[in-house]
Parts: sequence; structure tokens; C-alpha cells
Amino acid sequence: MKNIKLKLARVEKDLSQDELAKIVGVSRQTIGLIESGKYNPSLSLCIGICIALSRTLNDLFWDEEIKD
Amino acid sequence: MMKVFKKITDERIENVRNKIYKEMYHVIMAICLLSVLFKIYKYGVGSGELYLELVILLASGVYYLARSIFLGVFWDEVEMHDRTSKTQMSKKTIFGTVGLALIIATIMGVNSAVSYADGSSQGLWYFVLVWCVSVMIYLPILLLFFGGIYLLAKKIGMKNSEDNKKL
Repeated sequence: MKNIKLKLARVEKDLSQDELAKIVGVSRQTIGLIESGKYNPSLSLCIGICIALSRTLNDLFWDEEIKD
Repeated sequence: MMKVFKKITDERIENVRNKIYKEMYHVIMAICLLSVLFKIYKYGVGSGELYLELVILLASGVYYLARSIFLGVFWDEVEMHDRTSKTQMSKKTIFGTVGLALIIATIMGVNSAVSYADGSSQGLWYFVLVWCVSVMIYLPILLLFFGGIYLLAKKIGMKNSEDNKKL
């Protein structure tokens, strides 16, 4: 499932995938795959992304549809 | 912020790399196995040409077993198995060991009867004799070996879980 919230937060922060990847310390492809929902990041990487984008885990990685 | 993340490596690359290593291990094992089969076919079993392949096959297995026991993964797998399976791993280990000892004894007995006996009654006698002696030799050794591994894994697993509780 695509992570639209992450993409929006990155665009709002005016960062490209490459810039976010450099901040977090991963490759651009990894950010692309997380946004397209093709890779499940670890908790530490999620936290790194949240810190970089000044958001919480809830904001970026919690999906209301998977609550149940 | 750059400083905070500098030491983080790309976990996806790491995961994919580990997956490739795993596949590579299977490829090496398959090549070794094919080599063993080819050499058995070409030179026979007792030719001594198989040592290198057997060392590769056995050493990698022993290394994995030792690492998984000492890191506690072996016991974690036992715990996961016992949670879902009706038969506990301890019972499976005992049954598997007894089964293996009986299979080895039967192979040795049949080999002895076929290779050295002159008549059918002597063959039966040789089979029974070698079978009983083989069971007496292999059963305790294998039980000690596999039981020892199981108990060692249990001890280390319990120690790890106690250490985790303290944290």
C-alpha cells in the first residue's frame, strides 16, 4: 500500500527523495520503495524519517484501515 | 541532523545483501552435493576423494548450529515450534534420534548380512547380531549428542531470557 502521508510530508518539507535519503542515511531507492509501499522499513528507520520530517510515527506510518 | 544518521547503513541494501548471501550458500551447498554424488559415481564411496566436500558441508552446518545456539536463536525457534505444534521439540528430538539410530543399525545389519553371510540363516543371525550391537553403540552416542545440543541450547536460551527480564 502506497505511503501517501510520507510523500506529502516530504514535499511539504520541500525535500526531494534524494535529499531525504541523504539526511536519513539510506539510498534514494529505499525512500522511493517506502513511499510506494514496496518496502517495510524498520522502526529505527521510521523514527529517523519522522525526525527528519518533523513528524510523529502516527502521522507518517499509522494507517487507520489496519487498526483492526 | 546529518551527524545523528551518519552511522546508519541502508537496511534495505543490507537485507537484500543477506538474502543474496543466503541464496549463495544454497548454491554452494548444491554444488558440493552434486560434486559428492559425481565423485561417488566415478570413484566409489571409500575412495577418499570426498573429504573436501564433506568438510564444507559439515563445517557450515556445525558453524550455523553453534552460532544459532550461542546467539539464542535455536531456542527461540524451539519456543516458536512448541507454541504451534502438538508434539514438543524435546519429544521430536528423542524420537528422531531413536529413529536415526534404528536406521543406522538396520543399514549396518543388512550390509553385514549381505556382505559376509553364506546362507540365509547365517545372514539372519548376522543381521540380528550387528543390529543389536549397532543399536547399543549408536543409540546412547546419538542421544548424548542431540540431547546435549538440545540441553545446551535450552540453558543458553534460559540465560538470555533471564538477562532480558533484568533489563
